Amino acid sequence: MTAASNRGDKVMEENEQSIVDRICGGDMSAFQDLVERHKRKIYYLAYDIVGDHQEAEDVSQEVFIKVYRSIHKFRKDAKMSSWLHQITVNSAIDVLRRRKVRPKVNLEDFDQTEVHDNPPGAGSAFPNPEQAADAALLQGRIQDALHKVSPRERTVFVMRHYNDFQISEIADVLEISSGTVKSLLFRALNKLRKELSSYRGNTRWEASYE
Amino acid sequence: MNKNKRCQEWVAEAVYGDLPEDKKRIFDDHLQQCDLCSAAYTEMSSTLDIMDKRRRPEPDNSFWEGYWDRLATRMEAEKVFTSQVSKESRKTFLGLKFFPRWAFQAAAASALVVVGIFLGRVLFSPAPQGIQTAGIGETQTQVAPGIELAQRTQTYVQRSKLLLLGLVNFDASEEDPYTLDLPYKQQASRDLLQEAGWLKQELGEAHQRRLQELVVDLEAILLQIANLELEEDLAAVELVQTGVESRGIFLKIHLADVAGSYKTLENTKPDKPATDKSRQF
Repeated sequence: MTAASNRGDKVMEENEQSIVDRICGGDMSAFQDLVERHKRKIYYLAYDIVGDHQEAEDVSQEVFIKVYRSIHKFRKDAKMSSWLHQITVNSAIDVLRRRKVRPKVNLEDFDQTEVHDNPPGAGSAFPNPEQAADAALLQGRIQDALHKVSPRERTVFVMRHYNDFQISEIADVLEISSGTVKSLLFRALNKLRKELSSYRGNTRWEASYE
Repeated sequence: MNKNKRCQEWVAEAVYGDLPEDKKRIFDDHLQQCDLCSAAYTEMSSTLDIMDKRRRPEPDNSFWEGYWDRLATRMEAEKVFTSQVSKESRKTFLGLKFFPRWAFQAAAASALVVVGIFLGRVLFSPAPQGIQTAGIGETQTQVAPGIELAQRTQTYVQRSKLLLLGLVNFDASEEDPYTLDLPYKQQASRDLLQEAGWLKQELGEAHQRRLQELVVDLEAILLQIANLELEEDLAAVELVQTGVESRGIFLKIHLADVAGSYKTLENTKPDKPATDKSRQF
């Protein structure tokens, strides 16, 4: 990490502490600032774990409500983003455990809407209907594969793969050791590899590493 | 340790480039010699390539722009703001922030003991000779029924008026909900509701109709206050404020004062004796 980014983190932490102080003093605009600053990351993390738009929004709202309710318990030496991620992960895993039916992958979500790696206004990523159908099928397979791994394994995987958390950060958020994180990540990858084997040719290693 | 076993432990880190330099060198050397681990690494990497094709449906701008409004609405509905404000204000009220909970409990227990001793002395000590003691709730002097009805009606209306003034003049946007002291107001409302029950029975004559209506109007508002669910239920307080205004309560009270309505009750001769004097206040 560079000195500049260290300074940036420090400034941000100071800003966060002042936001926390203002929220504790009843300043609603400070709470709104906090929400605006973190809403996207919280929503996407929740979405990656629960795999459903509506539930992801519910989870993200619950996160902010919990933060507001217990803001006075926030330790000055803690990092706001870590606290938010911890609440998000716990709330999202609760949703998975309560859920009896897995949400179906809505193909229309993928073939008509903008996707996050496309700029806004770029339109559909798949101009050809066949391509769109293939892509939607693949999305379904990937979502299915993700739901075949356990909630904790999936959480570790989506944090590392889609949300750029480092192993040590995941360990902090989940309050487990780095070794356990690595083990969960390996198990998640191994299961995904098996679930998606039809998209690859080689199966020799699968049999040997079981 | 078996080299394949060690590779298995490292492969997840390796595919993300997380292996430290020294381990990476050992891992790469091993991959050169071991087809099994080399295949493992390739498969893991290609699995991640497939997972990279996953797309998140991206909510449109209106979703993000309306996010705060939806959250605020939900928090309002779940009374999150109210409970938080009341919790904070309760903590700092009169600078009592620094007293632990046990201190309040000890103070309450001491107060109860003092009240108990006082009541015991008053109620159970022998009365001095020559003084006629009155039973609990019995009035020591006999008052004409009409005068009693007038006094009790006027007291009921005036106490209700004071109670409602405190609520109507409360401005939620500027004042601390704790200053409302709703638990006290709820208890006072319950007492007044009991009195309203008795007054409605007694105010039966035609010329008492307006006072009876006033008692009934006040009773409806008092019932709302008595039934507030939370100590600082600001939404319900607003409903009470609206109710007072829509029923023209203060105008009716003022008219009753100006018209001398209570005076006219003094000549009332009820056809049945008052039965609930013990609740007189």
